[in-house]
Formats: sequence, structure tokens, C-alpha cells
Amino acid sequence: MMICPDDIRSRVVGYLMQRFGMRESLWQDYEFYQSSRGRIHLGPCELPDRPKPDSVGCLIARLQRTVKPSSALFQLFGQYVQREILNLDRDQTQRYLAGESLVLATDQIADCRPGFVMLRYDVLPLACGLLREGGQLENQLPRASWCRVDLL
Amino acid sequence: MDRNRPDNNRLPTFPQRMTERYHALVSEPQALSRALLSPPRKSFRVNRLKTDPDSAQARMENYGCRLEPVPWYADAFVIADYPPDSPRSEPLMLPQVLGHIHMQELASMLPPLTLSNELGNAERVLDACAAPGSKSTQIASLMANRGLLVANDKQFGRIRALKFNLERQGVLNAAITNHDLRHWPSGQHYPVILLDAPCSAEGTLRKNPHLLLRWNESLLEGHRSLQTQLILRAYDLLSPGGVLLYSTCSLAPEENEAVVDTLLREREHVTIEPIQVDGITLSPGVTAFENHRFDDRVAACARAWPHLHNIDGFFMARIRKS
Repeated sequence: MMICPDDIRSRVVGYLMQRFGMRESLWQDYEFYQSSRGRIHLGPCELPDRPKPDSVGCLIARLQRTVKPSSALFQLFGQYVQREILNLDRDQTQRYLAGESLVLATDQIADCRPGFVMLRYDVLPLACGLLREGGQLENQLPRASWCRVDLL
Repeated sequence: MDRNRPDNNRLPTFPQRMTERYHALVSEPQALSRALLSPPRKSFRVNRLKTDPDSAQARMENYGCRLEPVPWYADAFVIADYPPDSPRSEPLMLPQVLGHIHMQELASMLPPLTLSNELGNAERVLDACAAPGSKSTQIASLMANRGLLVANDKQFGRIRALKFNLERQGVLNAAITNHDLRHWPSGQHYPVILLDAPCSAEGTLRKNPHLLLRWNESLLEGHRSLQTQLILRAYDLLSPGGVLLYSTCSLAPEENEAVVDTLLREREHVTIEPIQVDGITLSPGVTAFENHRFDDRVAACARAWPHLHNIDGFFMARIRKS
């Protein structure tokens, strides 16, 4: 776990600003950290020297060919997302949280461009999803968090 | 039905020695035994990092849950009833999944709550035995995700649950460490430390009645030895003027007042501060138990009793390094 080099931090911050309209000042009280496999964490500005931390703050993104935002990011900062918001209905929410990928109607995805989107149910930011051309919504939730939600 | 809880006909009975100890501890030992075997209440805490109590309450009541407020904590509610048409006896609710609420026993909310004045502007906090993270997430909420919270646990197997809970609740100010507090590096001091020590968990019998089957008085001595080492090390890591909150979910004086008594004898400048939580009158620490006599200052510690407070049995000592 190390502090992100400036170029990587800028890449993440720039992507979140450009695609989701998340302003840079949201991150000013925190530090960006990079761990194995391109994981980017948002955490406290100060860390203990010893013992060395195993993990810091929240996983907010993964660096792949592009930046892949995490569901934890949207669940915490979803109210600041200004675009690429996809509203799911009750049945779709239940199925998505259970790990399913969905095929959505054209009018439902009219406001979103293909790529990563923030999913929302009612007013609640839910998770990150990957929207493909044609309305395929690929599930991005880690298998360990799939669950059958009874009360929505 | 709670998986940890056998049905009433199969509840284990109290060992004779345990009953004798309750007679020495409280004036209504039968009431205590009955309360310890009664079903636990389901309660949750609202995570202010993600929502507020009014919104969470409205959503839960909209599901058909019947909620009861907790007079001593505006962020906590008891679920008196789930909706009658729930598919499961304890349905999984969206606010749980999204980390807006955290299912947590009421007694376990007390230690962070009693530190709330300090946590509001603390720069560094150590939660020394943090897993699975109920209190750590509450601390982060009371810190409003600012400063540094070192959430430590010695047991590697429990770190995963700690990570999961911190992430689910949106905790940004935490650094998770996996270290034995007894061997914590010197030279670092914390103005606020929570030591929720490993214990016999006797106070949680309502949830875990199977603990009765393995209760043995000799186990208490092993716990006491570890707890004493932990409290001494935690006190050494405390900044001058700082506060250490020592807590257990045990009813046994060996794990509670005796541990604080040892700290008072072995360290200087120790002040035990009274614990006051508006809306609940906690009981004082015990100064004598059977043939043991403790320092009178341990009376300033606080105890929650299942038969008096209708929450799990709990012990807290608020220790200031003056």
C-alpha cells in the first residue's frame, strides 16, 4: 500500500470528473493509495509508520485499460454523481444485487453512454454497472457480495 | 430463529458455580439468569456516514418494520417486529446491504458513545481489538470520517470481516493493522484508545446460550491474564491526558474490575472517570466479589445488566492518563 503517484491520482480524479461530474474537491481531505493489481484506495492523509497497515480506507477504483470505479465509491459519494446514472426498478435491483446481469430497454438507458454507470434504486446509489451497446448491463459486483435482498 | 440459539426446551442450564457467582454479584440472581436466557432484541445503528436517523427510520417503517427508539442513543433503534409477510424471520434489508444501518447489539454501542466528545475532534484513535468492526465503524461515524482510526486486530482470520464492514459502511479514515497489541511498537501515542478486550462473552448468553456449555471458572483466569497485559500496554500507548476505554462483554469481576485494579496498582497517574450516558443509568463497578476486594476507585466503572437494562451484560472503564 503506497501513496499514488501524481499521474495515477490525476488519471483517477480526471476520469471521475469527466465521466461522472464528480468534482475534485470531494477528495481534498483524503489521500489516494495504490495497492496490488491496480487497486486504488481513498484513505486518511496520515498513516501509522508501524505496524504497517494491511489495508487503508475504501477501495474506490481499479486501474485497468480504463478506470473502473467501485460500488463502494458510488455508495458513499453517489449523491455527487451528476451523469451516467441508471435507475433500476425493484425487480431489476433485486436481480442485480443477486449477481445477475440485465438487459435493459432502450428508453431506460437513454441518458447513459456505454461504459461504467452508477446504478440507483429510488434515491439510493446502489453499485457500479457496465453498460454495453444495446442495453446489456454487466454485473460488476464481487461474487462475495451477491445477496438476495428481501426488503427494498 | 437465530442459528446460535437452540429452542427453549433445549436451552442449557447454568452450572452450579455460575449460579453461586450471580448470588454474590447481584441482589436478584434469578432475574439475571432469566434475562440471560431470554431471546435477544434485534437492534441496529444508523450509519451517519451514509444517511441520517430520520431517513433510515422512515425507510424501515415503510417496509412495515415496527421500530422502538432507544432513549439513550438517537442513532439506535430496536426492531420490535419485522413485517409479518417477510419471506424470512430476519429478512435482509437494502439499508443493511448498502451500509446505511448496521445490526449491532445495544450494549456494544456504549463504548464509542461514551467517547463521543473525544472522537468528535480526535486526530488519532486506536481501536486495539477491532474485529469484526461494529465499534470501529461507529467510531468512524462519530469522527465523521476525519483524522486517523487505526483499526487493529491480532487475529488474521477476523481481519477479512473487519475490512468488509469498514468498506460496507464507507469508512475512509481507517488503517487496518494485524498486530498483537502486547508487542505494539513503542514511540507512538494515541489520545483515544478503545480496548474492547477478548473475553468469556458471558454477557452475551442471550445471543449465544451455547457458551454455557463450555463455561468454566478456570477459563476466566486465562482471560484475566491476557486482559491485564493488554490494558497495561494500551495504557502505555496513551498520550498524556488521553482516554482509554476498556470494555468487555463479560459479567465476571475477574475480567473487569480485577483488571482495572491491577492497572491502578501497576501504573501511575491513572484516573478512573465516571461514565455517564444520558437516558440510561448504568450500575457501578463492584468493589468486592466473594473473597476479593478491589480498589475503591473501580466503583467509577460502569456495568450494564441484562435484567436491569435489557441489553447484553457489559462492563466499561473510562481511564484517563493524567
